[in-house]
Amino acid sequence: MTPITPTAEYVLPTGLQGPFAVSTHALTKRFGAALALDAVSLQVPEGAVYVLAGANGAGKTTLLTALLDLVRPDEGRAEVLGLDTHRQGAMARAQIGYMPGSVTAAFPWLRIGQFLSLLGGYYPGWDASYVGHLTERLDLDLNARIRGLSKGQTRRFQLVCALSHRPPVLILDEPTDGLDPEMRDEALGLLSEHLADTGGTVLLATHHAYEVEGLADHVGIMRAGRLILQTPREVLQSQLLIYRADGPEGWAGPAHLDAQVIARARSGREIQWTVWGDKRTVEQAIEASGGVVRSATPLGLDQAVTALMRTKELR
Amino acid sequence: MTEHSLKSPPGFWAVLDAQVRSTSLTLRREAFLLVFLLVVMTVGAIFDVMLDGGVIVVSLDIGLLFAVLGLMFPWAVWRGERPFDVSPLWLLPIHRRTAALARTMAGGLWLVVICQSIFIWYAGLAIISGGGFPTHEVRYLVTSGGALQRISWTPEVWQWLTVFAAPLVTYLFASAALLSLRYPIRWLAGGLIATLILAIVAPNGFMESVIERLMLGPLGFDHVLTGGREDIEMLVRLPTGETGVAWRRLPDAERWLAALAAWLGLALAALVAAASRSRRL
Repeated sequence: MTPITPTAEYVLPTGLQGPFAVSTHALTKRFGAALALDAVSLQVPEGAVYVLAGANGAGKTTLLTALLDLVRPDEGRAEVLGLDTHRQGAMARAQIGYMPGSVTAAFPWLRIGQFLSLLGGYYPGWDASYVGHLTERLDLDLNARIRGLSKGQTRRFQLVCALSHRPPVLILDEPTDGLDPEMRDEALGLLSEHLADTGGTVLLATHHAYEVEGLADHVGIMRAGRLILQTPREVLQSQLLIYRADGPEGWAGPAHLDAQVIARARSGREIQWTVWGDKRTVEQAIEASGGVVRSATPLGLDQAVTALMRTKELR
Repeated sequence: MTEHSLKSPPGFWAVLDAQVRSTSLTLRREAFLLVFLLVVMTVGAIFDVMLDGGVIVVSLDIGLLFAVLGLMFPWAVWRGERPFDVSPLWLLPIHRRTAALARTMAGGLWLVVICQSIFIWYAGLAIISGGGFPTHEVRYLVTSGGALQRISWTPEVWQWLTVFAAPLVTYLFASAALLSLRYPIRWLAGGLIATLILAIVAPNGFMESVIERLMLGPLGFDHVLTGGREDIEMLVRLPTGETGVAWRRLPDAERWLAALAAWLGLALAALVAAASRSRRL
């Protein structure tokens, strides 16, 4: 099969419309020889639920911890609600509810209630009744010792800590990791309620995009420290399509496409392309080469993320 | 979002209050251990007094024990935190230097409470045993002419204050080390090796002179630890013919205060520098 090449340098979109609740500006971080973040310009619009996807080691956690000023960038800077995360670090962190990716909870000798009571001391306007509501919804016993929590309970406890002070910005690292389906739905339901109450912004890193498919309205994909795409979800769904087409014997499809080919497969006379680009342009190119487009179907969020993460050609 | 709708970080006193509460929970294990030890020692002391008829007299040397406690205390205070990693404390909406200083202050407060509690227990035990506080110790003083003079000496109030000041200074130095050194064991080993090498290659008596200046000079650390008792003591031949300890001069509150101010200032400067160290990876 003749490989299809884009007719022009085709770049996936990485710019969004502001105002932004969270943004980084060409953030670069090296750990020795390893490039953890490569000029990342993250843009999370205010009020968005932004899913940051990427394989393990793609740089997601480094990026999230940089927003908490726990990473010293080699270049670039980060902002949360217009606050420089380094120069105005304390103020910026007051706006953030953070759920770490690690399952290890701090202070294992404390009880959940004791920990939450201590946490409340750092947040003026702490609402103990709201915290009670959260622990009840996520089925957490305030008298339970942190060291005795299972992985799922620890994740729920960490989510309560992140939500408890009603932050305008939530930064969640693999929030559904370790949760059973029932608790995952409960946790996502709480997130929805939080968004409805506060009109806040969520930046959520995961490599299980299907688990948060119902919430996401913006998507960013990281690979090898680079943000290869960030876009509103509806753009993702209108631009990234699977085209199924067949043609006469020996037909190999168009030699060039003014679009980004993500994947290609052949089954008998049918050729299937996963392509990022304008639907009409792609269909016309296929038809001009002698093929007949049988269907052009948008991908689900998880399929789209997986397809984009796997494509080595994307730079 | 406008500036007005932004959430505010907590004020310093709220942070200190939260740190005092947090540290109290962190130190609970050590507190139980201390209570257990005090109970065991009380029982032991009661048996000793009842069986042997001995009495317990409160000694200023307890200050040395407190100083060692102050040296180790930061590791208990910072249990659960990771000063050079993604520590829970660094995630809070507080300036990180403020957070480190507030936690150190909270730990210092509990150190004072613990030292006071042990001291009250010790004094109580001494009083019950019929001993109590020392009065009218007989000492030998070397006069300016070199003669020995017998004097009666009662420890002054400021000497009892050294018992509580010493652990605070050692605590501040140890806290500074904990907050500034990513690998304290390596630094300790390196320091010991460097000292050993210096002792071998330096001219005869150099190390002794350095240590003497640091410990026994006019602002020597001995003044902080014991109120200068080591500095004023010397071995002499007593009128009885035996070798014993005499004082060069009387213990001096001014020397203690000067040394305390110097070492406390140094410890605080080291602590502020250590607390200001970047916590970013």
